[in-house]
Amino acid sequence: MSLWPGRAERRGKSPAADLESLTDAQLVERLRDGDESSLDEVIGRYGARVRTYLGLLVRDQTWAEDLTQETFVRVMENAATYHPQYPFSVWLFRIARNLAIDLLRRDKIHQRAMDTLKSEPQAFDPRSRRSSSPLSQLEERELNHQFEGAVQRLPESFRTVFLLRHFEGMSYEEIADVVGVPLKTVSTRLHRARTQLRHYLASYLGAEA
Amino acid sequence: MTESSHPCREIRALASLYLDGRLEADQRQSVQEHLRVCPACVLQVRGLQRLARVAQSYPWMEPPQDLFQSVRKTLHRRRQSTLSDLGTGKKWRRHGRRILDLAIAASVLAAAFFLGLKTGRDRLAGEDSPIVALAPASDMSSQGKPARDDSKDGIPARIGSTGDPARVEMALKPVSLEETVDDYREAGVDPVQLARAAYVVFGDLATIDRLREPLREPLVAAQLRHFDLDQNARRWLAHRPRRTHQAVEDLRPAVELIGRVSRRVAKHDARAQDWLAFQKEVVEKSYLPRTSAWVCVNPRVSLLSAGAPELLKLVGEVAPQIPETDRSSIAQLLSVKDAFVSGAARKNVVYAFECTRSGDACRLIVTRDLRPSIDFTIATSLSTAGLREIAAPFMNDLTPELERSIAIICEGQNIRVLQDSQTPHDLEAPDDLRSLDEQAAGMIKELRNRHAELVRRMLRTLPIEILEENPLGVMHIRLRDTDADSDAQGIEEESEASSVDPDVEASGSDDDDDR
Repeated sequence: MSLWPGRAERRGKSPAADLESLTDAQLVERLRDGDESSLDEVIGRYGARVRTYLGLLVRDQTWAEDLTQETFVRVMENAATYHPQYPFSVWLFRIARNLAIDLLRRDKIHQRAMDTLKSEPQAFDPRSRRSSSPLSQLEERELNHQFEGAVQRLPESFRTVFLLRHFEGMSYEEIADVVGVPLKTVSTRLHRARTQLRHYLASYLGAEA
Repeated sequence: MTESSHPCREIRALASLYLDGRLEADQRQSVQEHLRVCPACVLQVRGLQRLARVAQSYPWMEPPQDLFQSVRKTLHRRRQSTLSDLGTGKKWRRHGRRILDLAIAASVLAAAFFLGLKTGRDRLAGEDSPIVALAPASDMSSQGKPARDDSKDGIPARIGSTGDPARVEMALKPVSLEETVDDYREAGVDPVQLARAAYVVFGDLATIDRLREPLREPLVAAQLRHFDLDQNARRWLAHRPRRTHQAVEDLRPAVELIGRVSRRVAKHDARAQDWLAFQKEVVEKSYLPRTSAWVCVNPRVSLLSAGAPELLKLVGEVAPQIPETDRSSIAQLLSVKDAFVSGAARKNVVYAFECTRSGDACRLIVTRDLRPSIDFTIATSLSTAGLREIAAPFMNDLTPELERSIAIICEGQNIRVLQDSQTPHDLEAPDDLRSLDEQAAGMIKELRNRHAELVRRMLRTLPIEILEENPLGVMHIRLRDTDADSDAQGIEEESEASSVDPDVEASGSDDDDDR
């Protein structure tokens, strides 16, 4: 049993009642048949997750939105290649990750992200959460901002593993499938990612960090 | 803390696994015992827990409001970019490499048809020799049974497995050309898409993309200009730096050759309604042996042969001897490969044509990514035979200078690597991709060898002789001359087909890649 708090259960809402009852694999089956309404449901389930994942992976929010769109385009285009033996989320995030990596490499927005990090804080809109007081809201906002920055400082390979684990609640095995590395590597990268993040965020995580 | 620093280090190294609940009971107990007595490590673990809470409380970012609509719009826009648009020279936007993409697919199709179709001579003679595909097929009704003698019925079979491992089975099915094509059409499968699906090349495309970046833009620009299809592209080109212009000029001969090949193939392929005619042309231009057929021991090609029904029937009757375990291994192979292909390898492909010479044979090499791979090797090998005629006019133009230009496009090493038929490890790849790539490559190699041995053993029971076998595992076979029986090897029993007239006319074989 994991001692980490999970967040994979936080899902977006589904638009159609009948589609809501379908499993991911069934939805993909319908996508394969060209049923675009199913895509709406897929986006409802995964849109925010993919968006958040990509937002933290590439930092540049404009690119993240583009990548989010492209991810779902690819899902639709490549639905026929999806094999149900893999969890849909593994397939989906593999697509998202590969798109992001291609972009990071090709356009060097990783460097841009680092530059951004050094210059001015990027506007952040915590729409889905409200804190009890303006002060705690401010604190939370600041913490989130620092967290974003710290995540960005991680090497991509560490960042991906960390995000998939903590934002998607994926198991080590699923992460290994997405990233394409052995379990041992996942374990190592995750530990190092956490250790580095803890170090980066030491002053925000309290004395114990 | 000095004396406890070593255990502390060990405990902290296990902290992540401990918090993830992935330690064995004894390890977990050790960690817990240590935490009871070591406040420093407790602080470390709490720090990690706090970090997890921060991650948990980090808010989801809302996707764009119009995400669904924009995805739909993008999908529709891409779908509208049809082959017919290419053929009429309209709507050729943004990416010249689509031309190459198309050409690649069409060329691969041509190669497939070379092995998969009857010759024009066959047709004119009114023979109805079927193509027997030892190929992935969803309909397993014939599995485990001897070859059906329904060649006259020309029972159609899907040769377009989409690579679903669950559907990958070895089946023996006679196929007639027309019905196979109809099968595609009824399924609403765009032939080019089908070819793409069947021949997706896997490799570290991102790396190659990056390597080729300096040349890609001028190449694409030159493509666009050559085809004169997009005024916007011209304007775009006009704004490129002088250096780019020079690069385009340097590459012009190669680009023009590429363009001519591409346009020729695209012209054929864009006319979907004339698809059969295109096939005929390909086949008729292919000189095939008249008394032989092609079979393949390579599960990736999953073959097979075309020729006289009697010869194919011979092969077909022993095909079910390939055991189930082998079939499941192939499925396993595919799943590994798919794990790779569905990821980074799919997109950002730099398409390219390569033309070179191989011994005395003209060779038209087509690849999507210039990365040597199993799929590529297949395409290469099939092209060697099947596209000879199509390639011939262009090969005449393949001067050393042109070859050098192409080598530039291909960054030199690719041609060499391809000629050596190396595995995909020659080019630099990121560790994570390489790991999966190597995993797939290793498995593919092992399975191919095993499968090849099984098929060879099977073939040795037949009264046939193997004229040659190419590195891909495609065998050129013919009925053994009864007078030369002693020359044949491994004949264990005489088949009833030994009475078959050896003067049968082979026509080609059906390549059905298992993707």
